[in-house]
Amino acid sequence: MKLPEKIFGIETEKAYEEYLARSKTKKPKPRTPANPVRPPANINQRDYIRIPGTNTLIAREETNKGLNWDDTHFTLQDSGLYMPSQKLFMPYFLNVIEAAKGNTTLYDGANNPIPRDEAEDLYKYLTSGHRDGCWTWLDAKFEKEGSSWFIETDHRVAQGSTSKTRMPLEACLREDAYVELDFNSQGLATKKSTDQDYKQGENIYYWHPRDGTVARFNAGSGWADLICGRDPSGSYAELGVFACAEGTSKS
Amino acid sequence: MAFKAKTYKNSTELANLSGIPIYMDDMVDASLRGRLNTFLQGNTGFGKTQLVRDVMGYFGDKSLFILGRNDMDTRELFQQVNPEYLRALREQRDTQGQRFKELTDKVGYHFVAVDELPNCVPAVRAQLFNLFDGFIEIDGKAYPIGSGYSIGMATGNIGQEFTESSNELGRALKDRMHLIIDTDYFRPQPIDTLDMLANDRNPRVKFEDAKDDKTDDILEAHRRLTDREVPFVKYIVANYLVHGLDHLPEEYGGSKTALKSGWPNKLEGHASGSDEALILPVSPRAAKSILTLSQALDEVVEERGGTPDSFDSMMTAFKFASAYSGVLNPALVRQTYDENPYRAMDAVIETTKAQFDDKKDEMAAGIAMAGKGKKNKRLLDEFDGRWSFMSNLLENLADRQNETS
Repeated sequence: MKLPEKIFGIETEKAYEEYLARSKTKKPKPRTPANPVRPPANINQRDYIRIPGTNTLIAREETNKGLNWDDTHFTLQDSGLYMPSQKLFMPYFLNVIEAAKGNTTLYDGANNPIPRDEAEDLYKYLTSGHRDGCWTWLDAKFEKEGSSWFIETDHRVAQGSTSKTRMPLEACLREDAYVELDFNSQGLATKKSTDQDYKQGENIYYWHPRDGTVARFNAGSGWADLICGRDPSGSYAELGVFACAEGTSKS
Repeated sequence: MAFKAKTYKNSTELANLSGIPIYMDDMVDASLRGRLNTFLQGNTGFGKTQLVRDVMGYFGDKSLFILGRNDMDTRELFQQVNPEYLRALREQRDTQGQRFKELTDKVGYHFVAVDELPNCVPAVRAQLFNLFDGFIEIDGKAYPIGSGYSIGMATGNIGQEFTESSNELGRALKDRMHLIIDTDYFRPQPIDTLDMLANDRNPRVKFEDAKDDKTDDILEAHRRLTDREVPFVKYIVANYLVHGLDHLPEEYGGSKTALKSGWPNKLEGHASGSDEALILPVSPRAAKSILTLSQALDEVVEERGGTPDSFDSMMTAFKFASAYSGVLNPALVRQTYDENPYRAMDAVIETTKAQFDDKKDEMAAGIAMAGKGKKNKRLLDEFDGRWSFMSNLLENLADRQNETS
């Protein structure tokens, strides 16, 4: 059987070389976006960072503060933006850690490389109380039906109607604990950390999914949490969202 | 070849592939190209039998229509009294060496239609296993039917409300029905009803005459499909459906199949919330059907001006080949998906897409690695859990590469 030279549009030879290069330097997956993106006209692309392997830009800082989860969705959609799910946010978080270590480079929405000191600043912002830490809603709602668990994500509002994607919850850690930075394809933790103390950039505290709740990511002095158990009706002056802009590939 | 039903009308989309809408006609077209048996189930009066009759019209006079009933004996259709034997008997000649019965020309028929299939009791339905497998057994000898191309289509209602029905198809017959479509979820549109009523108000099924024989076109399309190259990604998807979907965490023994009747009730906590509790792996036989249907759908898409997407067509084929095949957890389908197996399949497909998105870079790298006959442990270890089949696949492909170089 002849093996293909391309699969899913990816050149196998190139993918292998890149994998070997990454594994030598322990770098994560390619971080330079393959496709240029065309974000909404009303944003400053320098205020956004590209999420690797996607056409998505994520804001450097939270906006839309003081709103509950539903209203955050609505106000974001008014600006052509949307809330990141942890499926988007956690790979971005890992990328920021690698960039702060010098293992990879972050790019802003205009495709400019972000200097390492800025990456380090962002890293501290996402993992400590630096600049008062961060507090963001994430686009995931967890629901239990009978003995089954579901995740609802990709909430979008268009012309007065809402849409979402609902799928069974993948296998993930089902206890509250410090976890290793290893996430499943839904962005949820899979492994308990051997060290049950906070180690900045090496683990986070994870609150496993609760019925009827939504997800948030918070960081403060001496802690960083992925919480899959927050009341969607809550709102706090400091709580906002790292807004995302979806770009379309330029042909 | 493109099948277009003459009388049956239905412009409801069953799927959309690369921007090309796939209608009931297209699904039947794909099944004819792929030589895949099809069972149409659903409420009465919405045209299932008419669709089957329209398909029969494509086979000229080389098709067989059987009404499912409990006194049916399919073998009688394929054999008749041998006139030579009777003549010898009448002339008091020696009949030794002559068979009392001989095969009829029906053994050369390409298409077998069975109407109201679930109405037969299981023992009678069992006679159809061979027909749908493409042969007839008479006196312990198997005779192939259809001269190299035979295909079956059946209709019926499943459910307690259909009192004359024996209700369940049975696993063995389901296994032979490569494609099961519940027409209740894909009912004709109002414009179809308008066209149908305006065209003919006779409520009886319309029997087309046999002048429109397209048997040669169908056989040629089937031959062409058989020769069509299968993209490698489809083999990976098929492996995922057979092996990846079988995976369970070690605490449950690592395999749904090995858990036997313990699946899904023994799964607790997170395992019962993922697709692990929703779907069993498909059988290798079903994987063949899915692959064939996907290839046929790709050809339909191409002929309509689209560019096929191997992964999407595999997912569509998986949906229609598996929704009623018995792999879904019926309790969960009832409880969570409004009793709609297609909705449950959509959820499984959503998870499958996320899984493939997550692993495609590693897959690409792994294929190049195997092509060089190498085994990078770190790369192979990227494929764990439900992806461990990929690690095994790549290792073996690397070995084969070394053997041939």
